[in-house]
Amino acid sequence: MKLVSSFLLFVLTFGLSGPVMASVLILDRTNHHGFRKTDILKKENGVYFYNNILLGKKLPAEILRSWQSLEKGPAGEKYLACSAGTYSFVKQVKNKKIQVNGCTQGDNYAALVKNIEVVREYAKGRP
Amino acid sequence: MKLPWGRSILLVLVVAGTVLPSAHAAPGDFEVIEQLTQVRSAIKKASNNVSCEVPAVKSCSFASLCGNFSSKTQSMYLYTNASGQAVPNYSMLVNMQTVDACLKKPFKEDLFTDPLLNPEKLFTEKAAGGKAQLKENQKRYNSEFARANGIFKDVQKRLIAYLQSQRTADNSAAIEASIRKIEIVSMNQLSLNDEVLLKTGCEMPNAFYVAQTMAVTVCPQFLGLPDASLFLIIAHELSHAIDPCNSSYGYLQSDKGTFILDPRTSMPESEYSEESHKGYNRFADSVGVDEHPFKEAIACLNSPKVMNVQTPSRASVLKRVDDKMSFIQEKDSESGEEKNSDAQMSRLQSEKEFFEKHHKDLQFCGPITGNGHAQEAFADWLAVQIVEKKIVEIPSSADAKRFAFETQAYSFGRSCANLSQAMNAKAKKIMGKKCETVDEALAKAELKPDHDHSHPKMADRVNSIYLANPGLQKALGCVPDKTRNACK
Repeated sequence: MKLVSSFLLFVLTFGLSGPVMASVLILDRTNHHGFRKTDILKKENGVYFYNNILLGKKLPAEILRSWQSLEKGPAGEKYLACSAGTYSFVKQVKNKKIQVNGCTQGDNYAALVKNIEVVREYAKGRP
Repeated sequence: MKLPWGRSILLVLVVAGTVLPSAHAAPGDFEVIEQLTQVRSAIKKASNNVSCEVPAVKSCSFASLCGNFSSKTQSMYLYTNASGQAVPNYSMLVNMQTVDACLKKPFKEDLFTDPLLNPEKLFTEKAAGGKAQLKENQKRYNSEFARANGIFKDVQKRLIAYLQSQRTADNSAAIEASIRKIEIVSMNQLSLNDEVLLKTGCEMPNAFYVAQTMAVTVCPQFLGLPDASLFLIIAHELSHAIDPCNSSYGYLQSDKGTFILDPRTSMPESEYSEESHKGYNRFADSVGVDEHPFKEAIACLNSPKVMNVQTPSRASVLKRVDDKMSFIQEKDSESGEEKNSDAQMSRLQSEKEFFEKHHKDLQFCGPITGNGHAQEAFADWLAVQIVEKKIVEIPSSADAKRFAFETQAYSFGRSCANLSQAMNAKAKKIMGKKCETVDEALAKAELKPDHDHSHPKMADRVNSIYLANPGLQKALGCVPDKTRNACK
């Protein structure tokens, strides 16, 4: 019964809404040895998703802070060479897309991935 | 009947045409986890019999090497030598981590239990499974690092000896500068915490050379590999110190014996002052493309017959910088988020001027031109010269074959199409629609990554450089591809 009611609540809250309003953040990186990893954060009709895992309409303050930091995109750093690897960060809001490329090394990149990890860890604990 | 309520509601919603997020259109977690349990059990069973035998390599090609592993698509490790050093199926490692993340880590124990393959187990008690285990894991890292560092010192000595052997009256100054650049490189021993690992680029299995710090980093995920695999990885990374891009940078030395990159050779004039290198003296000079001691090999490697490196023209690189400038301006006017765009614009302008001035020497620098193939091809080529010298010293042909084979082994798990395709398909099947695959997500976002041109394809590197080397061919006993000639 619990399953039914929560499912119906979900449908009523999100499923029957109007036009889809989505913003998507993607961090896609490939390292020096060719290994590739991608994280996708999506906010659709006010609902948060991490790699398609439903996070709900409200995020705890700490998670929201990380999400909002990610929305600002990575701070640039200058390197002679992207020795460890490269990343592409994409922010897509409606039809507008911003793509930033950079090196997968240094303090700013570490901060970016730390914020992703905060969201990822929160997603792991979701029911 | 399993999950009757969930199923019927889902059916009603689909019939009614309601749009649901794909996470909720997937099969129930229970079924997916059951499927994953079966897959893990099959993998564990298949991983019990990992061969120590060096397989016969018929033809000198990457496809032939990979063909030996067609029966290993289910195995966690592809090869183990007599010392217990193993080559993980990296494609499986990365894919299973993706599946675990998608299913919110349904199992307490990771499929790959080796802490080196799960670096989190090297710095948190929780991930390691207690204080004592964490200590044990860190001890393992330190001992494997010591092994890699020993190999590093051996490779460094051999590389210097090789450079000495190539000295002529014409290239003496360039050889001297190159030797000095190799001498000051060291291995980077990581402080084990997550931030350091992220900052140093060890989020995934990796190894790399950083010119600013004069250091080679071998990430924990590679440290359990056989000696010969580490030998090649380290030789490749160390060779980057004198690749056609990094050669153009000079180094200065302080009275205290510390080194810095000579800013006059590595950055626009507007970005440094005389003060920035006060007290430092010339140590290793910049070596331009025309003076490079291996300029013939570089030209050969870049030729259409070998790696066919398409060096971007001066005009196209300048256009790239112009595009970046337009992007910043656009971003600034649209969102107002970028507050330091003036600083970025002036930096790009200086970069542009620097490139215009030093185009010839910077034409092979990947981050500047967007194409790093010349750097990678050179590092592969120099590394295989060192491997060849090492193989000659091995008295037994069986041991020489094993060494030659193990140099290549680390790349199988990631780059053999038969292994990676099998694993990608398996992961996709388990996850179903629950999580998007990387390709699906990127296609949806129409993402065009900038890193497509950073490295040539592994198969091309192995076929055109490693397996084109006569020493490696002889040791492996494979039939050479007559259409490929080694660059000298």
